[in-house]
Amino acid sequence: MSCQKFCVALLHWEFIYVITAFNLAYPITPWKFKLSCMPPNTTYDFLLPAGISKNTSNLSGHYEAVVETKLNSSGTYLSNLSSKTTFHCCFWSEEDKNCSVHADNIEGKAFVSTVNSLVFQQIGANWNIQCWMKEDLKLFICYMESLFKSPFKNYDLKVHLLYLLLEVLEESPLLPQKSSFQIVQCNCSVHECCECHVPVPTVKINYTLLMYLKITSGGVIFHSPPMSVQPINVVKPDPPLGLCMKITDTGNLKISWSSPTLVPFQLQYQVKYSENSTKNMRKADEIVSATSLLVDSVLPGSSYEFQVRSKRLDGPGIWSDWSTPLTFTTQDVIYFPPKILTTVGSNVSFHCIYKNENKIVSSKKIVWWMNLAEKIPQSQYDVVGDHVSKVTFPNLNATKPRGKFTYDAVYCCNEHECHHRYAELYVIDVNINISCETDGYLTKMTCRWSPSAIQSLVGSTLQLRYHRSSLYCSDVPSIHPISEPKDCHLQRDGFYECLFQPIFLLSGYTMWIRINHSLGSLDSPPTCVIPDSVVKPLPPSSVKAEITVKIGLLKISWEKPVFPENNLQFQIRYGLSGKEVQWKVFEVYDAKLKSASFPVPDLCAVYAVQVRCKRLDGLGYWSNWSTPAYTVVTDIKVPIRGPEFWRITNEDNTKKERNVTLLWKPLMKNDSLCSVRRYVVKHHTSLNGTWSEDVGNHTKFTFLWTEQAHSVTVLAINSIGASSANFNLTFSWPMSKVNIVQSLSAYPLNSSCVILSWMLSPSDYNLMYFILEWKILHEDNEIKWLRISSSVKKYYVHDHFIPIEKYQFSLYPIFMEGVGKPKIIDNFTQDDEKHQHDAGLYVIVPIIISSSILLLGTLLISHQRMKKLFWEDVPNPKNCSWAQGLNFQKRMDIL
Amino acid sequence: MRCGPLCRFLWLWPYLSYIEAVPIRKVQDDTKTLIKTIVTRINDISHTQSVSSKQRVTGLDFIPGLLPVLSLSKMDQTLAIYQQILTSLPSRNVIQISNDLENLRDLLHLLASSKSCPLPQARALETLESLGGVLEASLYSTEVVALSRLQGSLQDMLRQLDLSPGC
Repeated sequence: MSCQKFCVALLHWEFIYVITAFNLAYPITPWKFKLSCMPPNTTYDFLLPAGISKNTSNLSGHYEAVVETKLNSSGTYLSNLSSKTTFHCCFWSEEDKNCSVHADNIEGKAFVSTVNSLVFQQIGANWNIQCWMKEDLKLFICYMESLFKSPFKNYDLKVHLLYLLLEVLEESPLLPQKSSFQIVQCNCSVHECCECHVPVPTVKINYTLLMYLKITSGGVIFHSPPMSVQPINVVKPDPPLGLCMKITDTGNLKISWSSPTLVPFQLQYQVKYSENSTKNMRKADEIVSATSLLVDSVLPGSSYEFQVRSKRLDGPGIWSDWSTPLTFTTQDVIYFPPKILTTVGSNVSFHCIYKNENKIVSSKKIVWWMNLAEKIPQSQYDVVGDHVSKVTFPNLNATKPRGKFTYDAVYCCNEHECHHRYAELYVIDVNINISCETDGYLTKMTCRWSPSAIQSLVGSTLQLRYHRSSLYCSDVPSIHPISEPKDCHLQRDGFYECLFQPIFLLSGYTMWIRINHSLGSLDSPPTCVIPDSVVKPLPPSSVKAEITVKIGLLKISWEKPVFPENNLQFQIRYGLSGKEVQWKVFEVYDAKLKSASFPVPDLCAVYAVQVRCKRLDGLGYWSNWSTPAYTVVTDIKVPIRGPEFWRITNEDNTKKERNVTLLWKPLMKNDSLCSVRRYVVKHHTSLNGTWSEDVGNHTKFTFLWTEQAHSVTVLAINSIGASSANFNLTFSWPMSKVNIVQSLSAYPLNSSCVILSWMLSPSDYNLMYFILEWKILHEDNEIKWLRISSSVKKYYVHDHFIPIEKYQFSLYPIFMEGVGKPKIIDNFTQDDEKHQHDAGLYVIVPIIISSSILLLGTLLISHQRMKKLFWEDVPNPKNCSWAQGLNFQKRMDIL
Repeated sequence: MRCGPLCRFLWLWPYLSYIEAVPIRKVQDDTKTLIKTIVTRINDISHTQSVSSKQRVTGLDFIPGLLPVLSLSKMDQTLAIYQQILTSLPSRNVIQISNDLENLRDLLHLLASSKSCPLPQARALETLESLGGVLEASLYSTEVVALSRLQGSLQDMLRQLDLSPGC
């Protein structure tokens, strides 16, 4: 036992010694290498034939044969070893079969000897080892598997990996000590395969990993020589993922895959594929640096299988495992491209290869159909090769959706036979109008566009992109390669709205809509907008409206908005204020003008006024209308005239004094311009001269007529003054007897209109006008009157006339000298009476007729009832014994 | 030296291409209108209106003052400084004015190229290196004085533009 301990201590010392010389550490290769071990007491001399240097690496085949002969019973040899025996081990590989053994010489010094690995294969224990860095750059893995038919396999196999991560592999013989090594136990399976995991921080991936293996099996300990590696040099990527195959637009088969993103270097890829078709079978193996590969001459009805693996492109590395195989079978008819998304007006082409009953159809026999309904003219065909036919669609129109199908189906047919597969053609109208508007403060521009034109393209997303040029727009806007996206928000009206704020007023914003779809992306025609050219100014401010006093014009004044600084034109509109204003619009092109006046028909009405503006050079938009301003009704001028008036007198002709009550109708606004503050009655008599009486707002005034003639005038007064033209009425005793109205007739037209006509006799007096007075006969409460021009001989009186009432009509001739004698009639004229009778007839006759019908009906009912009453006494033959056998319907002689 | 005319032509090319498309009269009008717009914008910023013109503010010498005679290049240089100052100000009001100044400078370049004036790219002033410190200490003063002086300078430029300024 003490000997064994000594041996172990010696071994450790030896190991440390070896470590100090770790520049001799075996450099781990990216490929597999081997670890071979043999017992310590074996002298190398017997392994080496005389005359061959210990350090010689050139071993001849003769030498190998000798070794084979000498050591053909290694298994027996190993089984005889005692436990805790420490073996001498070395690394070698298929590329370098020299095995460097670290052992003691006779003097007890460590030495390194190079031996042919074949020796170890025969007499020692052997392991295959491969080490690599995982793609995540965090875990270093060493995998080892036993090669020898181990006599120890019945024992527990324990493998430990001792490692040390060094920034620089130093050549100093002082470092490191054994204690500085870290140890990990490897996971071993029953199949004598072990996997050792060494965590390596990603940042230390360029460090040197110094390691050795300690393998314990059946009491025998194998110590590997030190080995070293930079983990970055043995990175093994994960197999490529996301393998995908498709036929390209040019008819090639494109295989693509995704590259792992974790590795810090470029990768190369190895692709192996096989094609299996009825025509031929081919296999290929290609190395590419891109993540895709094109395979030409794809055939219809063939199957393709692909696998890909990856490895570091520049520098050492380990191939990843092969990816899962991907199989792709082409259809009997191949369209390339299988789908096209394009814009209205463009030209597109489809190609096709058609395989029918295991035979590829000649391209000359191929015909094309659209939607299985319309044969495409042969002039649009092209023969690209023996088997490839091409059809071109020039100047395309937008696809009209047919139900849920939003594409045109393009069929490649073999004369009269079409395969059910088809190519899809999506033609989209991308003419999207983008309209922009700059606000009145010149700080933001809002652009709007509607996606309605391209709603048929399901699954597409829209994005407004723009490019800003420093100044102005070019004549023909074009899509700039450098552009920015703009966020737009869908509004309730279906439009998208995009906001630019702040803006460059004079820069050209070239904008277009990009339609992104799985089939590709389309751009709408670009449009260029200069924010300064699309300004919608703020409406003019301080808008005021008034009817000018004494002049009588509608005067409108305003202030231009602060922005823009350009000259502006204005639009003014006004109308009578009300629910529905009938606007009159006027243009003002003088930018400096701040007010305008317009004649209006009604000076006393309230007018609503609004103003808006726009740049004088026509660029931009009209502003909104300003908030309406309203005129205030005030007195513009003196009343045009005084009120029309009439009088009521007590009819006592015997008295010399009479009370006269003047009546007048309040002046309308059009006559009063625009209000009446009070009325004044002006009197004139020969004795008392002229005097006035203020009546206030009353429309009735009574005075005492005492003199022979008494003239009165009623004046209307407003804030400007008294009415200029007024009516006069002279009450004169002599004139009240002048009778010039010979006859007066009244003809009722209906209940609301009566025609009056009269005849006049010649007179020397100055007839001014007539006053027609009417009332219900014998009722003095409601006297109505109106003024009629002197030239009129017939007049339509509109009133509510009650048919059963009698009316009195009085026509007064009004002379300049005084009121004449009236002509009075108490009833309508006789013709009218007849009409009235007729009207009565119209009422009575229907009453008589309806009474007759009622009477007749009553008689009939009475007759029926009587009949029933009398026949109650007639016997029923069924119930009455004496009446049985009698036929009451048969005439009896007795009766 | 051989490169001189060619370089000059190449430098003027982008502007000459504009000149072909845009009448110079429009450029002049737009320049004046834009100056008026900026002046009005400054007027609309309420706190600039209350500043007394009688009081002189010291320590802000890097902000250009009024210049009696302005050439196009001097105008451009002055505007470049103002643009640099305004860009440094955090106030939202001045971002739009800064954009306007950029447009205005582009217009001046167009005007200069129409007169075959080489208008070199205005270089950033070293004095503005200390702007950060000044802004931190006296943001309000800087904004008010910068806008006030800019307004005065713009009004000067407006007058000069009527007199057809030299290169």
